[in-house]
Amino acid sequence: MPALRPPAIEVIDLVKQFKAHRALDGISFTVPAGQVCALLGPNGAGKTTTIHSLLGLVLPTTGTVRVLGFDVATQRSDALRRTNFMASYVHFPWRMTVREVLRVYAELYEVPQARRAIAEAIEVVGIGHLLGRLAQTLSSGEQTLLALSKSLLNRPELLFLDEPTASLDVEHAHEVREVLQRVAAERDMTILITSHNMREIERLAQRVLFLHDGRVLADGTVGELRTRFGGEDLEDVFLRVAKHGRAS
Amino acid sequence: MTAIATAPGSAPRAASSARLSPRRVWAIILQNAFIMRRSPLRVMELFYWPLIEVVLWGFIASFLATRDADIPGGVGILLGAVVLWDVMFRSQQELAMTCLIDMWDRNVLNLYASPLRQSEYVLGGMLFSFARVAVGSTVLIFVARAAFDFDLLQAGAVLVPALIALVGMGWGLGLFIRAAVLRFGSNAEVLAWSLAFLVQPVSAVFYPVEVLPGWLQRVAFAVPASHVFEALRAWFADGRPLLGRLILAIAIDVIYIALGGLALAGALRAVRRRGLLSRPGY
Repeated sequence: MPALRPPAIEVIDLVKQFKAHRALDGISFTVPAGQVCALLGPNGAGKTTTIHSLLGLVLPTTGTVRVLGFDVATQRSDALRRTNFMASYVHFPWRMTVREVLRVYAELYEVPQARRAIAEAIEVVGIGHLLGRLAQTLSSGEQTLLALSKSLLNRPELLFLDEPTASLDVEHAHEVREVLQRVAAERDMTILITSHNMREIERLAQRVLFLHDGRVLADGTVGELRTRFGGEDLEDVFLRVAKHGRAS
Repeated sequence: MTAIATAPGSAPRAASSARLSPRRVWAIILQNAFIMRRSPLRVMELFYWPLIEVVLWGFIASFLATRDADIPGGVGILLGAVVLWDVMFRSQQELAMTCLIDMWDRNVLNLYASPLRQSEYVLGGMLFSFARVAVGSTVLIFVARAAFDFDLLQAGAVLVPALIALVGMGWGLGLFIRAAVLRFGSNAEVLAWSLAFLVQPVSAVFYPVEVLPGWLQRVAFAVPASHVFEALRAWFADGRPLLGRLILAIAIDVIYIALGGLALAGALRAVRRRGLLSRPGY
């Protein structure tokens, strides 16, 4: 009998209060291992706060957050060793080359056989031509590819993606999606992704969690949500759920 | 882009551990070394200001020597004081800089979203700062000997606890600065350049503590550098090592480093509570 894998993510009654603003209002959800799950919602819905809580970047006001079976409050470093994170709003040291960035992050994640892992991450994302370039000279598209390469270095079991293709042109966004789709399938990797690009979510995610005002308004596959809320595509569904959220 | 060669299995569950990872400490050292290599300013500042100070105080000492000035420990002690004060100042500044550069480069979130522990981040900064201080101080000692015929190494073994105490004080102050930078963002970066000079008047660098008014003498007692410079002055004057004062300086360092560590842990808790880590420079 195969060993039972713990859920990749368990969030139980998570509340995050920033002074007068309640960013997360007691959300609970579980993401099984190997699933690509999307967090959708309007600006300020709590998507980034949720991801940052899972990474231990934000301390919950109350509630429990478990990543790969580890309690993030007490075993953050152990959990993060087997995850990785990529966002369009983080940067790498300007005066380091792409090769040096990957080398430093391979050490940070204690990647075994670092040289081989770096070569693989470079090959998978296709940034071999950028290796000697300084981070400060990379275009935003190239920086995203570097961030993606870094996020695959340690072969994470769980990958957090916060707006991974924001500010990318169509071609670069397509490249990133291709890599993610392939890697997720081949590595049986769990992904938690936020994006405002509905087509991206339709293509990548097996499940969608709709957040609004820090609460989970809907949870299901794209098909299930279409059936429940009506609408021709996910964008339509999004508009209907958001309207429903405002009304409730 | 090419297909992935192998499909991975799930990595074995790592046991929960509080161990310090030498590889992550090395990553911080490596990152700073890479950055410094391409920053002529970072290389220059290692030598420029200290050399100016040594040359300036070298000539002041030479001038005083011609006037038979009665300075305890001789006029050469002024040069030694410049070199040793630089050890303290650099230790403090470099520890703060390793954190400030990450903030300026907007790399903070990447680091805190990795398994890196605060203790590893700090230790990497300390070791990198120590390497820079060692290189800078070696050059200064050589220049003081070659240009002004002052050999700090003549002090011998007493230099070891003195240097430990000064590096420790620099790290203690550096931890408080890192805590302030983490908590208040780049608004606090001015501390990296100014905090050491705030304590310099009560550090007995160029004059003995006894010239200070009574209440400032009590303040000076809490400053490790004051004990170090008093001990060295006595050593150069009449060969008394005053080891007790050096040990006291190191003991005070331990307290400051522990308090600095607590301040840093508190600052990290505060920014995580407020969700500030994702706001570059705050």
